[in-house]
Amino acid sequence: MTTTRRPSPQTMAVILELADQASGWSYGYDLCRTLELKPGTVYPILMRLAERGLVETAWERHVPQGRPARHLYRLSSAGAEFLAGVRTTRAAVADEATSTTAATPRPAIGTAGA
Amino acid sequence: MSSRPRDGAERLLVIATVGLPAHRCEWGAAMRAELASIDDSEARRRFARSAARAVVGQCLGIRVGCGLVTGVLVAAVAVTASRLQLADGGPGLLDVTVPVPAFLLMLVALVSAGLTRSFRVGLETGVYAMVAGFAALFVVLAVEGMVWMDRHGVFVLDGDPARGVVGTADVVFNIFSTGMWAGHVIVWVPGVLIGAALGALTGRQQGISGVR
Repeated sequence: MTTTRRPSPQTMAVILELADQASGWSYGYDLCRTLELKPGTVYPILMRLAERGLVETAWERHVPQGRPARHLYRLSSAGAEFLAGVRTTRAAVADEATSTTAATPRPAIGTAGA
Repeated sequence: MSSRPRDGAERLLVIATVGLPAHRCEWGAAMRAELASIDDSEARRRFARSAARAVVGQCLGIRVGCGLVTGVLVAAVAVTASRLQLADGGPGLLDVTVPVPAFLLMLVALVSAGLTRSFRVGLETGVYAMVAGFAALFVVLAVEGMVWMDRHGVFVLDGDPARGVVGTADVVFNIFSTGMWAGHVIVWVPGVLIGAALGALTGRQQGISGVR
């Protein structure tokens, strides 16, 4: 059974940032800097997203001499679907809130308690 | 990765990520590789500190929970043994409080190491359990010690009669004043180490046979 917990704002920020990457792959540290989040926040999120299949991971292929290959991350097709689902839900909630606000008559200013 | 850590930041991250569970190994390697690409020393320190905190915090609740459960079990064993022996002021609880918790600790370390295929997780869980077990045992011995002294005039752990006037503090802190805590720790620590080692070994072998 899969649980459908609402993602945290930080998780959503990571997903949105990965979705915005035109080149596809991102580095963990670049995500930290762009989102101004600590590595201790971003890496556990990336790990969980990868475990849930929402993010694909790979190791860098062309590595400059003197440093190890870095880990790369990109949104998987399941991740893109998940993001689309979240966006649809949020849009529906926003529409509902707007329609409820519009349908509820507000008391006229200055008439309360009159 | 170079075999020798470049600076304190790398040392910290290596220590924090060494021996991670099998399914977290890649995560540790990814963070170490990322650190290697950062040149600014302050940024390296910040990265390593934050990443290390995240690693240490992983599954902390499960380890603390295992520790608490072990503590409760150790307390239950000690209370049961005390009540069974209390009628005749038996030989004392030492024969129970040393080996039984050691076996429980070995079991906890073995299961946690086996499930995660990690000696480190088994060791950490075992240490949490050992601390909780010791605290629980101390509470039980302090309370039961007073009952034993009151009924039979003997110490609860070894059943030795009191020589001269014995105060409440002597009864409560008997385990520390006589150094018997050392005897417990000397047997309990190998229990944790053996359990963690066996669990990690068994888990890895099962993992290998699962891949075949």
